[in-house]
Amino acid sequence: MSSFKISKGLSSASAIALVPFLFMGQAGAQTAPYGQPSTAKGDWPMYFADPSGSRYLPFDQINASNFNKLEVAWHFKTDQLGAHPEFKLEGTPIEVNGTVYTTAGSRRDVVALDAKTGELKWVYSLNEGLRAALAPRQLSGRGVSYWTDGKGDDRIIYITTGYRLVSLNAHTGQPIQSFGEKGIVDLKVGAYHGVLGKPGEYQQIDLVTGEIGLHTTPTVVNNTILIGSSFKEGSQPLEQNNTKGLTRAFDAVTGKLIWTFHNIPQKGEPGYETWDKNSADFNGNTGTWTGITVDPVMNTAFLPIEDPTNDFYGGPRTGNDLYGDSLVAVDLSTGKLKWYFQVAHHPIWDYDLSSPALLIDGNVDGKPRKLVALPSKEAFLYVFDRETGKPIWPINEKPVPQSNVPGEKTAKTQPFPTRPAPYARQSVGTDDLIDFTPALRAQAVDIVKKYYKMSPMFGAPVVSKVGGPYGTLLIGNGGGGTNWPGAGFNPETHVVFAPAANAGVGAVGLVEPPPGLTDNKYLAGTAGQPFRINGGPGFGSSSDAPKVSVDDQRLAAALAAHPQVAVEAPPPRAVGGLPLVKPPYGLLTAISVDSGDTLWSVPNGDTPDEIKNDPQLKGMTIPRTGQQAQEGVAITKSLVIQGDGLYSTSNGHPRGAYLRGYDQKTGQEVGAVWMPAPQSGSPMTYSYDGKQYIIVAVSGGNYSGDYLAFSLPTGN
Amino acid sequence: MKMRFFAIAAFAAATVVAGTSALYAQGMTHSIWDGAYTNDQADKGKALFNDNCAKCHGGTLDGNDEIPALKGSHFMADWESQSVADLINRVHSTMPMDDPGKLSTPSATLVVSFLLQQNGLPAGSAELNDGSAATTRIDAVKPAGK
Repeated sequence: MSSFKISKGLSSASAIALVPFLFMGQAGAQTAPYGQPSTAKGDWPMYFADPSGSRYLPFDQINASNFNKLEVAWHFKTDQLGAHPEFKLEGTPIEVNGTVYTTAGSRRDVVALDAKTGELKWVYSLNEGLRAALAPRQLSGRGVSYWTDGKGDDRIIYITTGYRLVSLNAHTGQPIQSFGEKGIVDLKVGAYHGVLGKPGEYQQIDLVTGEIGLHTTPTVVNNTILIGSSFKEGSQPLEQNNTKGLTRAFDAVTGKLIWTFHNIPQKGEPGYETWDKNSADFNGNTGTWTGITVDPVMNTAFLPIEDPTNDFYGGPRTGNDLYGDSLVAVDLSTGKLKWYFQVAHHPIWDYDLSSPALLIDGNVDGKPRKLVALPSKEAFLYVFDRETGKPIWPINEKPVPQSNVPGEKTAKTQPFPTRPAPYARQSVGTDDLIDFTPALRAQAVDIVKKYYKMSPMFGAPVVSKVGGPYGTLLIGNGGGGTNWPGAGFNPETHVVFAPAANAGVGAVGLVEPPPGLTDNKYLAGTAGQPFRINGGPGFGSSSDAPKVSVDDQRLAAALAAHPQVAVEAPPPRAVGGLPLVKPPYGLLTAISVDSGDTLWSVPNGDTPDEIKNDPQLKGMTIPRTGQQAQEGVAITKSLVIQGDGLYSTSNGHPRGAYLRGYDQKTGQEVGAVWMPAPQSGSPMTYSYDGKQYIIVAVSGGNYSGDYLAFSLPTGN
Repeated sequence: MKMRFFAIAAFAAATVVAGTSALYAQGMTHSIWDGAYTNDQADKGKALFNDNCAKCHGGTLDGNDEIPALKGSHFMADWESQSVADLINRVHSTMPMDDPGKLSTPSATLVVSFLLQQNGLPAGSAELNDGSAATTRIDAVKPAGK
């Protein structure tokens, strides 16, 4: 066993490959036409199984007849990785040729595990110091990617917390010396923001403190690595002129940059004019933070793009703000724009595109059609012609409520697909409120009347006021529809299986932040409460976080100058401890993209304990409610596999969560196996040496990150 | 069938032995509904919370779509049947996320007192400390007879 340090060329990093294990893999994993391994022989070689985003494995050893017999074949507990254990394990491992690869732990280490036993074969760990500590997207992220030249040069590719692209030898975990700088490409090089007062000028961000990062795995197709960009949670930006989102392609062999797509158009590029008064130059974010899918034959990549700076207030960027909240199709070789579709004009609802676009070869009106189906937080499945970007079924621009927030200028209309039907709640109306009993409904109506503004879809946030309204009731900004786990589909039947949360109601209000804190006139907040910066997911949780972040220092200074105290109790968010809206709280829905029909829709898991045990509901028979969660899926020939996002306790089973198998045709649950903690990463499945496995990441509460691998008992 | 149940039981047992919760899982004779902390502890905990925790979990403990709320049904479900000591230990060793270990066990105990108060659990006359925390169970629903 040997280890080595990379000491030169990286000013603030050292790399230690731990326990490299010389592993001579079998030659020639099954390769798809585009030169990379495929799922045909049972591998799961990329985050979403294949470049179309299907999350599909054409195997059926695990099926309705035996799902309940699944047992834990092995598990990989992640505690010893990173300086402290991780409690939010979100990775989907990949499996190629008998080895499982994934990220894990609070330093985002890469591990290689034996696919049959879970034995640790090697670990790669890159200590990035302060750069990682300040990164906007922390913890172990969503996993790794794979590349091979088909002749034994097999590599694992991933993006570090500090936003570096690393290419490792898949057998030893050692960085590929001929890739980038000894295995590493600094992705912060080439990231930029505008220069105030100088439209058309752009400035490289600081390599240590500049804000950019990513959780999502790179998409590797042919010899190209596609990489997006992500930032801190966007509801309380401290600077309008933040880093600008970009999408890039790198050469998989050498690490050289091939092309850059400017998610925010630069001066002279089409779309620049959709930001009033050159504001494209003074706004940022607008990254591509979810997965990029690719049609290699059409030579097209599909980029789901997120919100521009400030999720809920767009005063400094009036105009439609392309390509914010847009699906963009680009040429895989050149990065040139082919077509785009914006789902929210002048985005202020946090409707950022959270799911990979699904590339389905369907059959519409009796004719084969190449489709793109985009699941969303809005619970619309937007379906387009893959070549032209034309909607398959009409998407109509309809008038929507306008904002009355000073400085804001909302778009007059927004796009509404006519087909397929929405697959979860899109707004909160009186009829959505809790209705177990008339008394509870009356309480809910009262609370809403007193504290909040109700609105149809695309209702604008309001300036939060003491005495009400404290905010507009919105769903889909965080707690509705499909979020980062995305959806999956069966390419043989052309059916999409979309998870959705259905009860995550947010009350979005705007407040003027303490003077001196930010150049933003309004940030998300609640009137009457002390102003707090919400740091965002995993913010500062890396193994080397500094004691006080730059934002903390600024907030502390601003608050010291203008102290704030709560003037009253915060407005209620629940009704006597119960959710504001009626069940179902979460759904799993099957939609045919051939017909646009909803085939079935079922609650996603057991009724939560607090509903089952609530004394106000004693004696009532309540149909299964599902759970407020947006858990990802894996699709096999006959099943949809999805785990619960919440702990629950059932008779005869210890506290935990369940991994469930659903019949694809009917939505009937055909089996459920116990897990010690909720699903926190999307499941995958693979078959190796005649045995099919399911791996799912679990964590939450007091249970630290664990990858569980299930299979059928031997000799069954 | 037998093998599967055994596998689950063994797994659960393995989890209890290996996980942090094992140290405290034995002999929980009290509930958080018994008056597990004092108002004074909750007040001190509030100040610590505002300084260390509110920046991510929110001043009103509501979290956001990626950061858990620290009050309400999801939070209680996450900690149901664990001991208060488990929660204190979790706060002490992994929080705040940008400086884990910053809060000593006594400080974490104050923060947890504040969390209990915010979740509507009753205060009492006896302080929450190492000994009482280990024997106090987190019950999402008030047990019968309390």
